[in-house]
Amino acid sequence: MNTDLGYIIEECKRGKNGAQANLYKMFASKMFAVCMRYSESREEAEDNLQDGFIRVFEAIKNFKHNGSFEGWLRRVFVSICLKKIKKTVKLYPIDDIEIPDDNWVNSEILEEISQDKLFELINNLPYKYQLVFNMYVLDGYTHEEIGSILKISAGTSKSNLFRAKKLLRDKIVKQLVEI
Amino acid sequence: MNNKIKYTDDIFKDKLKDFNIEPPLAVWDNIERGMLARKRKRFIIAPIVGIAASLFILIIPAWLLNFNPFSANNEVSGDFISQNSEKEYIYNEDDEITSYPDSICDDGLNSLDTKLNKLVVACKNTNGNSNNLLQEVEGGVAFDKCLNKVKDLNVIVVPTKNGDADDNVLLALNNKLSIPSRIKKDSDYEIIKRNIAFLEKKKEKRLKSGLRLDMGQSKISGHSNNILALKESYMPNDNIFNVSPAPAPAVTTKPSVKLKNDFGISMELPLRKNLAFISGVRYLSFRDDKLPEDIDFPSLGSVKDMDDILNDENDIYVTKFKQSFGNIEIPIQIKYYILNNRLSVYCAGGVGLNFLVNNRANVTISNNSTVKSKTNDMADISYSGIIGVGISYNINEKLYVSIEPKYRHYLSSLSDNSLIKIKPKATNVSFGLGFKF
Repeated sequence: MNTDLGYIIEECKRGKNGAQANLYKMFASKMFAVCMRYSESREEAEDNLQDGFIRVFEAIKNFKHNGSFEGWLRRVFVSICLKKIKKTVKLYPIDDIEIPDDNWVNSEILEEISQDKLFELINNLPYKYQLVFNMYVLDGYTHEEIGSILKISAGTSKSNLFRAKKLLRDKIVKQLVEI
Repeated sequence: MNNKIKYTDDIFKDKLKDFNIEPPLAVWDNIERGMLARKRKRFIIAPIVGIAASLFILIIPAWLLNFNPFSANNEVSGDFISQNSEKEYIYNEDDEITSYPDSICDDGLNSLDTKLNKLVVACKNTNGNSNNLLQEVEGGVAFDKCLNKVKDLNVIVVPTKNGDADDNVLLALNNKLSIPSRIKKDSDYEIIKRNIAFLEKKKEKRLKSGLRLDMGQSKISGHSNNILALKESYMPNDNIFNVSPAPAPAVTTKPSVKLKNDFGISMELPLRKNLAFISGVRYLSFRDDKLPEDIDFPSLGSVKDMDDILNDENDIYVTKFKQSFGNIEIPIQIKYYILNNRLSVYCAGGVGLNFLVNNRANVTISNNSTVKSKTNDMADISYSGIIGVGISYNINEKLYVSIEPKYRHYLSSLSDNSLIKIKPKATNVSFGLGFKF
């Protein structure tokens, strides 16, 4: 298996099946994690992964090596997932915004929590909070972008994010107590 | 303070950055199988559609040409002076015509009907001076009226031996006499008048060559799926490819393609009595307004150079974008007149060859600037099937207005990309002004 990403991308642009398979092997598990974060079920995540790779193979010829390929790939998969999400999730402004204090989760505590556990904690948030948290914190969308994509105001995005952080902090604290 | 919050966010980001979950093996199998099925399907369907379109062009006009329910013989008999089997005029004792020769209806007028444009009636005296004789024959009232009609129809009165007005009225077809030269009474003129009136009516009904300018608007009923239309390839009952089992349903994206408007000029050439050939040039435009998150993979194909713009270090995101296209269509159609009077009703069908002449994608980004680009992989040439009906109304002999509802189905994809299928179906209504030659 040729692991030179540049070469694989160029071969994918020519529609070579072998290169497509290699690309899939290189990124499938990471992208599946992305899909899992944005999907309500594992089955839905599998569908999104499948749709995402088909789209990648269609559009890879547009990739000009100007930025990170993985970043571009991630954006594709998030975009695929969001397409379904916007049809099902409605976000409303939350009046009682409680902005978490600056140190909303103690960094030392956070470092001690495993990757799997952290993923699980986020995935167990109510879906609408999970969505905004994923978009803002993990995938770097701005509130304006989130607002534009989900057809909500930037303020609604902010208030949902703060609620997500508050819930997450409570879960982390509870987790520590249990430990 | 903000740094502290950012730091906390960054810990989340860093910890989950490389997080991965192994997907089931079946996912890759589904991707591979779907892409293969798509390629096969395209390989099989493209020639079939091509052959079908060719047959449509060749067979339908031929079929229509043979199927003409309004044959000349059927229609003539009821409108002309009744015929009998006599070969000559028969006069009674008062020198009135009691019967007419077959030639009036059989050889003459039936022929006149089918060869109307060659009908001539000449009026000349024995010395060949047509003007003199025309003055003479204008004396009779019935004939006078008749003569006016005759003039309108480019009919000429032909000469007789002795130059007597009563005897000088003849009808001829291609300069060959077809109505006996001897006409004695006003009733004879009446026969001619009635027959000419019939011919005039027939002439009115005859199809003429014409030019039609029109413009209209269409609505896409939408068959324009992106790669995710692969879903159909996965259908478990797909007998052609026998692909099974079906995976969980894939997302199907149906863009809101809108055919904005179209305008064109068409030329009509009569083929037969109720049948005409139409061709011309039309400009059709359509667009799709997108949601911002569709920028990477819009259903009509990806946008060129978008990656360069969005990979910029600055905080740039798309606020809106739209893709628009323009096609020049060359329609090749057969038009059949169901009713051909002042108010005409017709139907038409054929194919259209479409040449892409305009491909634009306008992307508005967060700093309110608009980037102009274009959609990748659009096919330079595509073809469509067109069927429609129409109503036209003759304002006068030369001008007419018409309204035509049409249905247009693109038979080939507007995209060259094998993973994108864009085959719009459009219902269209156009309003036109026509000129008959």
